[in-house]
Amino acid sequence: MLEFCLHVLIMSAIFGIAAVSLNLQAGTGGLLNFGQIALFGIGAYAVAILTRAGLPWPAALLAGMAAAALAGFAIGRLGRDLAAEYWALATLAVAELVRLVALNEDWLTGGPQGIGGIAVLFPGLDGVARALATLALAALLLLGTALVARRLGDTQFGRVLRLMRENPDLATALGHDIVACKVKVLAIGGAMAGLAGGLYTLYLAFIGPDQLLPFETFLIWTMVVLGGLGNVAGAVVGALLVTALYAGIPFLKDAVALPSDLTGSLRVFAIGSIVLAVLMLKPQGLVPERLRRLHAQRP
Amino acid sequence: MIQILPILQILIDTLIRTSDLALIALGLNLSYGVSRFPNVAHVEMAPLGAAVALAVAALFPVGGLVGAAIAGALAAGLAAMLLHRFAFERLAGAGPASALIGSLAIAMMLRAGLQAVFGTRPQQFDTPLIPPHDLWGAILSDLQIAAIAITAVCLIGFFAMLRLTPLGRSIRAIAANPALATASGIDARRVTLVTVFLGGTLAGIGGILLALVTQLDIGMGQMLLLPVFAAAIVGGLGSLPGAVIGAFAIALAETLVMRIDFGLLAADGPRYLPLGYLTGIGFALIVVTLVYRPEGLLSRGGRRA
Amino acid sequence: MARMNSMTRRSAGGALLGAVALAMLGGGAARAQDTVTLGAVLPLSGASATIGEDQRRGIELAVEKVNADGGVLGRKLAVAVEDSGGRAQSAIDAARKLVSVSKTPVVIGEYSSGNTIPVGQYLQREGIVHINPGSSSPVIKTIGDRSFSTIGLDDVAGKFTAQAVYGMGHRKAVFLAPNNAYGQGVYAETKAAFEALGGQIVANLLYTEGQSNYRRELQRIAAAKPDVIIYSGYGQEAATINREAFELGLSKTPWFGIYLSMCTADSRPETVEGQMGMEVNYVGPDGAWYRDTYKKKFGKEFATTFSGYTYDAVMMAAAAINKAGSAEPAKIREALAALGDYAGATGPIAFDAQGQRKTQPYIVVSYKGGELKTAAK
Repeated sequence: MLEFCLHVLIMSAIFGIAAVSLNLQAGTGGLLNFGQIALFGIGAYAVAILTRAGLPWPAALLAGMAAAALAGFAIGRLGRDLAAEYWALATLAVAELVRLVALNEDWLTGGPQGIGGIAVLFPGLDGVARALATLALAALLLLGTALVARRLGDTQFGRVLRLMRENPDLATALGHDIVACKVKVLAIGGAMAGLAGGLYTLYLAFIGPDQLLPFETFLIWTMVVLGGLGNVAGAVVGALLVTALYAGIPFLKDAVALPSDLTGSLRVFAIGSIVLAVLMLKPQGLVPERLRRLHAQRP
Repeated sequence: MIQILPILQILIDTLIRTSDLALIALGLNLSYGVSRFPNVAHVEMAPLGAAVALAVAALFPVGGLVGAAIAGALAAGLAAMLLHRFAFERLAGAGPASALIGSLAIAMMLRAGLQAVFGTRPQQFDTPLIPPHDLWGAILSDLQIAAIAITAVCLIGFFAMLRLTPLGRSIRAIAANPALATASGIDARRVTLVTVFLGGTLAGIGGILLALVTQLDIGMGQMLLLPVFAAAIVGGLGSLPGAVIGAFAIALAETLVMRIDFGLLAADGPRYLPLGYLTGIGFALIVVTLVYRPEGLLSRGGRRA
Repeated sequence: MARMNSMTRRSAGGALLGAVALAMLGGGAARAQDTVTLGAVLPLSGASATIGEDQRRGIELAVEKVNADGGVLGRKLAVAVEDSGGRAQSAIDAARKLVSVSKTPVVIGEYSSGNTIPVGQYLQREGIVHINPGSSSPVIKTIGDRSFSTIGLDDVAGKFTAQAVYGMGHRKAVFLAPNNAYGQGVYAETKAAFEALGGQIVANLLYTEGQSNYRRELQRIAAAKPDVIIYSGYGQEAATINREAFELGLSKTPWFGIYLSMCTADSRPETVEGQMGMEVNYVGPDGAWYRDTYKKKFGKEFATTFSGYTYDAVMMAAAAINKAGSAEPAKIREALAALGDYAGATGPIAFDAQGQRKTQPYIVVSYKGGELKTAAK
C-alpha cells in the first residue's frame, strides 16, 4: 500500500509540473492552450529516443525540455492575432497532428506500440527506496518549476501577462509587444511541460501515442481548473486531487459490491461526477487566484 | 492529379459526410451563441438521441421509426436544456474554462450512463438491406439519400424559423447583443433555454440519422467531437450558416485529399496519403483557416447568428 | 446565491479525500485467507470496452470452472479485475494496485500492445508473473522471462493467413485493418509471409476506427482490383465496412477475415455471407465445448475472439499454482514454464523459450447460412 501511495505522489508531482506550466500559460497569460499534451509528449518522446540511443538521462531531459520549448515557441508564432477560443482550437489541431505523426511514423516513434524498455531511474535501489528517490527528484523539480512560475508571476512580465489576458488592446496601446510575450510564455511553459513529459517517460519507462490524445490535455486542464485557474498552488493541488482521484476510484468499487460488467462505467461515472461536484461547489476552483476571488464575491 | 471522372462520386461522398456533421455542428454554434463556451457535452446528445430512439423503437413499436426518431430528438433537446439550466448556468458564470471542464465531466457521465444501460456492443436499427442505386458510376443507398434529404429539410426548416418567426428573431437578437436584447424586452433566460433545447434536438436528429445509416456506437460522441468542432470553427464559431458551410468544407477537404494520387508524380503505381492522416486533414484545415482568416469563413467576430 | 463560507468548502474537500482514503485503506485490508486472488487489467471502458468486457467474461467462466473443480491449493480462486480505461497510465495504476495492495502473484492483461507492454515491463521488474491474453505484437517477446502469452502472436497468425489465402489460389491481395498496434502488427506479418510465398499485397489500408463510413477505404480497394480482400476489424466498424462493401458491390470479391468471428459479430448476415476467414479453433470439433459454455452463460455467440484467451490464462495460472503447490510468484513462474502441453479452450498451448505460444491451431472457416462453419479442405 505504501508503494501505491508513493506512486500516486510521484505521478502527482510529474503532472503538477505540467499543470503549473498550463496555469502559467492559461491562468496568468490567458492563453487557452489545448495542445499542452503535445508539448508534454515532445519532451517524453525526446527522452525516450535519446536514452535509447545511449544519452544519459539528465542530458536527455534537458534536450527534451529544449525541444518542447522550441515547439512552444512555434505555437506562439502561430496565429499571432487570434482571439482566445480560435487559438485554443488551433492548438488542439496542432496537438492532434503531432499525435498522428507519433502514431504513423514508427521508424522514429515506434508507432502505435510506442517506445518501451527504457532504463529505469536509480537502478541501484529497490522497491520503496527507489520510489522515495524518484519522489524526491520529482518533488524537487516541481518545487523548482513552481518557484519559477511564481517569480514570473510577480515580476513585471507577469503583470504584463495578466494585462494581456484581461485587455490585450490596452496592453498594446501601452506599448507592450504582445506577440513577444506570448511566444516567451509559451516557450517557458513548453520547457516545463517537456520536463514533465521527460520525467513521465523515465518513471514509467514507456511512452506511446495514446498518451497524446486530446483527453490527456483535458485531464491537465481539469487539474488546473479544479485547483484554481491563475494560482500556482492551485495547479499543484489540482494535480494531486485529480491524480489521486483517478488512481483511488477503483478502491470504491472494492467497497461497493456491484455486478462486474458495470465496473467500467461506474469508474468513469464516479470520476465525472466528483469533478462536476467539485466544480459546482467551487466554480472558481479550490484555490482561486486572488484577483478572481474578488470578482466572485460581487453580487 | 485528381481524377476528373468520379466528380459525381466525390460530390456524393462529400454530401454524405456533410450531412453527418452539419446538424450537430449547427446545434453547437447555436448553443455557443447564447452560452458562450465550448460545450464538449453537446456532441453526446447525438448518441443520446439515437439511444432513446432505439429504445423507443424496441419498446413501443406503435409509433414506428418516425415516432421513435421524434422521441429521441426531443429527449436530446430536453437533456441539453436540463443540463444547461442545472449545471451550465452556474458554471458559465465562473468563466468559459470552468464551463468547459464541467461539460467534459458531464460528457464522461453521459458516456458511462449509455454504456451501463446499453452495454458495449453497437446497436442497429431494423432497416431493410436494399441494394444501392448506381448513378453513372456513383453509388448511393436509399438510407444515405434519406439522411441527406432529412438533413436538408431540417436545415431549411431551421433557417426559415430563424428568419421568419418571432422566436427566431429573439434568438438572433440574444446571440448578437444580449444586453440590448434584454433591454428591448426579450426574456433572455427563456430564449436561451429554448435555443439550447433546439441545439440539442438538432444534435439528436444528427445522431439518429448516423445510427440509421451505420449503427449506434456508444463512442459516437467521441468520434464526432473534433470534426464537429472543426466544422464549427472553420465556418465561424457562433455563425449558423457557417456551421453548415464548415461541415461542407471539412467533408470536401477530407474527400479530395484522400483521392489525390501522388503516384502520378512518381509514376510507380498508385500512392495515396496514408489513411492514418485522415482525421488530420480537418485539423490542418483549421490551422490554415485560423492563420489566414481567423474569423472563419462567414462569421464577423463570431457573434453573428 | 447563498455563500458557503470557506470552512464548509474546505471540509467538503477534506471529506471527499477522506472518503477515497478510507476506501483505499479498506481495499488494502488482507483478503480472506481462504481465497487465492489473481489480478487482471482489462479495458472495461473506453474505445476497447467491447473487447475488455468479453475478456472479463472469459475470466468469469474460468473462475467458475476452477472453483467447481476444487479450487486452487484447496482454496477458492478469485480474480480481481481492474479497469485500464484503455489508457497506459490507468493500466499501470491498476497493475500497481493489484501488486502492492491486493498482492496478487499473477496479473493478466491487457488488450492493446500499447498498454500490455508497459504493464508487462512493470510486472517483470516487480517479479510478478504476467500473462498476456490479447496483444499480438512481436515486441511482447522482449518483455522478460516472467511474461507469458496465451494468444498467438502476429507472426503465427500472419503465416497461417498467408498460407490459407495463397492456398486458395489468390495472388493479388489488399489488406484492410485498423490503424493501431493490432492492425499494423498483423499486416506486417501477413505481408511478409504472403510475399515469401510469392503473392503480392498491392494496397494496405489501415483505417481510423470509429468512422461513420468507410467509403474512401472501399473505393481504394475497388480501384486496386484485387483477387482477395484480407481484412480484420472489431465488430462495430466491421459491421459498417461489411454493409458498405455489400452496398458498393464489393462483396463479390472474395473476402478473408482474420478472426472471422470477431469481424462478423455485429454484421448483418446477408452482408458477410460467403466470406472466408481464419479463426481460433472454437468452431471445430475440439473447441466447441467452450463456445457452448459461453453461449449457455451469456445467451449469445462470442462478441469477440478474445474471451477464450483470458479463460485459458486463468486456467493455466490455476494449474501452475496447483502444480507448484504454492502461490509464490517465482514458483508459479517455474511451474508455468514447465507446464508442457496444456489443452486450452483455444487449442493446445505450449510455451516456447520466450514464454510465447509455440503453436496456435487456427482453422479456416466460412460464413454460411448465418453462422461460421469449418471450411472443407
